[in-house]
Amino acid sequence: MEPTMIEKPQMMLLGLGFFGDPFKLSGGWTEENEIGRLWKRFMAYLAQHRQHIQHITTDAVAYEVHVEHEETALTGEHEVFVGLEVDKLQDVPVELSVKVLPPTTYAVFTLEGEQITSDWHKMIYEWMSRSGYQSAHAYSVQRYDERFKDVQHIDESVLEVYVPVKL
Amino acid sequence: MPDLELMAQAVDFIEDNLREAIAVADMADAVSYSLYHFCRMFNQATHHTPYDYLMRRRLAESARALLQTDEKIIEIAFDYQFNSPETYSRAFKRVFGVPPSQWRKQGRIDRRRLMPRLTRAHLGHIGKGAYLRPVLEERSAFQVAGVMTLVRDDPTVIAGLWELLAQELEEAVKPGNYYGIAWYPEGWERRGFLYLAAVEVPGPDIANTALVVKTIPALRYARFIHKGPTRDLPLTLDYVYHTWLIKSGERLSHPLVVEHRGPDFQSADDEEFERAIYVPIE
Repeated sequence: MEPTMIEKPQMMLLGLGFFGDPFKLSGGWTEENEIGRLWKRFMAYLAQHRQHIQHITTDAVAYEVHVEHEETALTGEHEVFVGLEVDKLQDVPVELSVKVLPPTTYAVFTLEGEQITSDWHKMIYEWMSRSGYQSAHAYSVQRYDERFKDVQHIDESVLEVYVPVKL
Repeated sequence: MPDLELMAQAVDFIEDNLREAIAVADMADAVSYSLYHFCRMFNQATHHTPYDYLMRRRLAESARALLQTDEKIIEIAFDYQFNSPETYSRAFKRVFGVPPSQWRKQGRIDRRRLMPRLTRAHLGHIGKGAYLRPVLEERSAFQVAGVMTLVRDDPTVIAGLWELLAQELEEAVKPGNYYGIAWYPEGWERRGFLYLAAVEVPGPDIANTALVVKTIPALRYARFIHKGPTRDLPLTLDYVYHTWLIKSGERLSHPLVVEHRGPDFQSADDEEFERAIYVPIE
């Protein structure tokens, strides 16, 4: 799977975050994990307050950002942030938080169908060690647009993963 | 679904390195998964996060070392990769309720508190979807009559007890509602626990003098289903004590476990046999 390289300016996201091991909760009893809960909270908030939120670039594209912190390798805990892009950090509701992604080069991987539920982190890591690129920042971005149906229709879904890279 | 063999290998890796400075990323490497995917799969396979499993196993083995060796507490703490005696003591107290020094003084190994190594059998059982979320329920008091014994090191005496019960009941109360009740009295770690193989009875007037009559008081229980033969029961009990209790935040109330076999108690060694396990909670 070969990525496309793109340059992106700074991106500002408005949404909600979680830090920890996102799978701690589920205990195998349900598919529910902290990431699913985060999306639910965010969607519920939007459903109620969307009309009061300014400066959203588009509602059609949502982002899920995974940030690796110092303890991520040790404990598996990391930060997950879900949100929409905004073009201005003004009138941010107190319930939401902001994530500013630096301008960078991204390797963009387009995942289709079953690839989405596979271990694509590993695939990307392997590509990285092959390609000579290195990670430029300790985060990755999943970009959900209208091509992503839902978990029940993963076969017909497309997901883009943005990985900040440098040579 | 997680690959159980790979997850068992991950557990092997952790177990081999309880005293080494390993990180969750090393575990993922050991089975060639990405860190994220590994956390997800490990959780599905064991119902623990990898870090939680590592820390609980380190604490359990260190708790054993406190009782079985004369090593200084500070040495045991460093040995199991705790940064300082204080960090160790805090973590220890959180899991066992007492600091390491007091644990050593009490000098008893309660197997229900020391998280065991998860074996392939444990993972297989969890993977079968054996542990649906338990049902919490109140039960009013009920009476049972049966035969009781002290179980020390050899749990096979329990099978003999059920045979004895069948024999005693030959003409009497069959078919009935059968219960196996394990009672863990103070000091049972050394002396053994009591097991009663019994049938529910309407009142204490039992003609058969070989049987003892017990009243099980009204209690609040978590009810699990154990599917499989009696010999696999420890897998379910390990899950209840070391996984479910932690996750649910519930606390045990009485030192007893009620195994409800239903009417057909003699099929309890079949692979498909289902029984309810009642664990009293506060």
